[in-house]
Amino acid sequence: MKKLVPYILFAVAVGVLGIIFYVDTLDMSKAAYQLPRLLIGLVMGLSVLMIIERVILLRKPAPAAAQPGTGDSNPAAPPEQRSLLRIGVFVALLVAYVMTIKPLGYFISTPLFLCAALYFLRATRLLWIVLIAVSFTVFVYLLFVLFLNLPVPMGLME
Amino acid sequence: MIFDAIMTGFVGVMTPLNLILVAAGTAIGLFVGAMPGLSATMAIALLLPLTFPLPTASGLSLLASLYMGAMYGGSIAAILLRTPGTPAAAATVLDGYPMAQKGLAGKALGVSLVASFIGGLISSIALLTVAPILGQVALQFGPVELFAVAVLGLTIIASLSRGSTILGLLSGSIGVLLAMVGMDNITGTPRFTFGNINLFGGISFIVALIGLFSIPQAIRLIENKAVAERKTVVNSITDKMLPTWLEFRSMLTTIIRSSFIGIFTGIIPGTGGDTACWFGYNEAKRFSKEKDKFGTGHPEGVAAAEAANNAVVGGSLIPTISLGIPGSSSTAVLMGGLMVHGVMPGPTLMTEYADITYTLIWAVMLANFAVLGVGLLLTRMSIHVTRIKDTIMAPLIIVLCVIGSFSINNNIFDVVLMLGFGLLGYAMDRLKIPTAPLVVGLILGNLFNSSLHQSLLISHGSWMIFLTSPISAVLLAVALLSILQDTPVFRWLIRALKAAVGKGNKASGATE
Repeated sequence: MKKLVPYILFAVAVGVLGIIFYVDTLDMSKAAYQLPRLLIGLVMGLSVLMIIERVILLRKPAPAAAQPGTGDSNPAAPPEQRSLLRIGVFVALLVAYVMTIKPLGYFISTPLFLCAALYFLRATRLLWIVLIAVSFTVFVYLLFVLFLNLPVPMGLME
Repeated sequence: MIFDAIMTGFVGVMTPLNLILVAAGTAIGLFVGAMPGLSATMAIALLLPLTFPLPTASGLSLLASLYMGAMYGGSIAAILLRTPGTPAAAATVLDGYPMAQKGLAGKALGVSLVASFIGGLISSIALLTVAPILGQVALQFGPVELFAVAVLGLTIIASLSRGSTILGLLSGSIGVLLAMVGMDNITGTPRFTFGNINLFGGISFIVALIGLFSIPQAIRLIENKAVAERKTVVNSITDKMLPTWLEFRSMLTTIIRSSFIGIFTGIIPGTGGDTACWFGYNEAKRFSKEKDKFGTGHPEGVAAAEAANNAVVGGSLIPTISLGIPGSSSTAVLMGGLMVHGVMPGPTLMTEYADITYTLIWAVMLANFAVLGVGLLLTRMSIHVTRIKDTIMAPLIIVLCVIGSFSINNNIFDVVLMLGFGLLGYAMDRLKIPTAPLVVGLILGNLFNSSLHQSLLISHGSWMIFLTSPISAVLLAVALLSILQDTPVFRWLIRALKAAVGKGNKASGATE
């Protein structure tokens, strides 16, 4: 049952999205809503089928483990080894980076994010962390802005 | 006319800037491929924004060479670390790593390089010759047939992707549904924009690609401490890289066979290098007189797997270019490269945008020579790249994702959208729902929309038009078959059919 919960949550999310999209189609002409409504029905139907399929699969005995070193390049580790906290903090840092890059600007938020993430992940020594953060920030700026004329958010430095 | 377009493409590629970019793209691809956990698709998606300011031919040359470089680069990690750099190099581990253990790491990498070069070259020739012919056939297609082609492309990639057909179809349908966001081209109605002006132009395909392929990969790199602290198994390359003429001649048949296997595997949507490498390896073993040597450090095993996975590149581009249906996530991203420069997927790729399309084909061809040259120069250096910690790479990837998605429209909304797609991609990854069909759905959404509208206009609203056109009916029947082949009903039908045939044979045997 525990393995089924994420699928149920995904199906519910898809269902909610489907309902929101369906409500939006109520004001549209037939030509505009025809394909979207068809797709909404299809997506919701397939979500239900996904749950049914998972229930059937969970009842079946688990297949033998795959051969080591011959499968995916980054094999999924057993759930007990995965650190939800590690992922949670990393994603939180990522969200904070996205939220602050506009007001603070690239030159403040990027080194801050890199230092925080590298420090949290214990990637290397503190001096190296600062060096990597600063040099990569400068490298990306040179590549995007000076070499390719692409914009970066300047924030406080605008 | 085709010849003119081919020559225009050739001239378009052979400029000094392009040659430099091809070399740079191959080198980047080689290093990315050499790092386990980083895929060619992610690298192409991250580099897409960088191609905006470049001329079309230059941007495409960069992306195509990166793809080719990453395919070879995957073998470096497979041989040196016993971990395939990309899933397409999984079979290379079997003989590549034992060769490295025997002190023949250089030879293994050299065999991989030569096989990759020949496999890639043969597949490029196939692409240059087959794609225009298929493209001419596709030009006869009207909206009815195009709709059927789009349905077939999506159902095949959904049914052959990792996981079940239901999960693949769900992913593809979500992709097409998300492609409906924005102003409808036919009726001019804004759909699912909820008053947000940023969504009126639709969901930026590039933003979605960066999020779906890069953020999950960055999170995966740090999610497991044991994986993040990987160690290099072989520390140096001391022997000669290139095989001798005698060694090369003994492997040539295998390389050519594997190349054709790779091309055909690539043509089928949903199957890619990860399938082709095993197919090529198994066939090489089956045809070999020295079957026992496979798995113990036999160069032919490395050659078979590597020729097959590089040949997939050209093969998978055949349906992408001739029909506008990307056969894999990597070709979907390459198609994104075409869309960046205003080229829309579909059969018009070979006519209206022939100069750009042939430029891409020539860039793929040229990239093979770059793989050989850059590979000989940089392979020994790549051993250092494999030592970079995943915990360092992950935050750097995030920065490239954020800045790349911002630079597309100079808009923070795109960054938030990219993050949303990234988290969706990670959730789908954890649930083993394939993301490739979602991307293909996003690409094909417009084609679905316009061809359906036009078909229903022709038929005055009757859906039967898709069954009255013979081509469309056959394509839709194949699409239905590709969905049904994974269901219990189909298996029951096959069993029933076999039983009926068995009974018929017995009955005829009794009467004779």
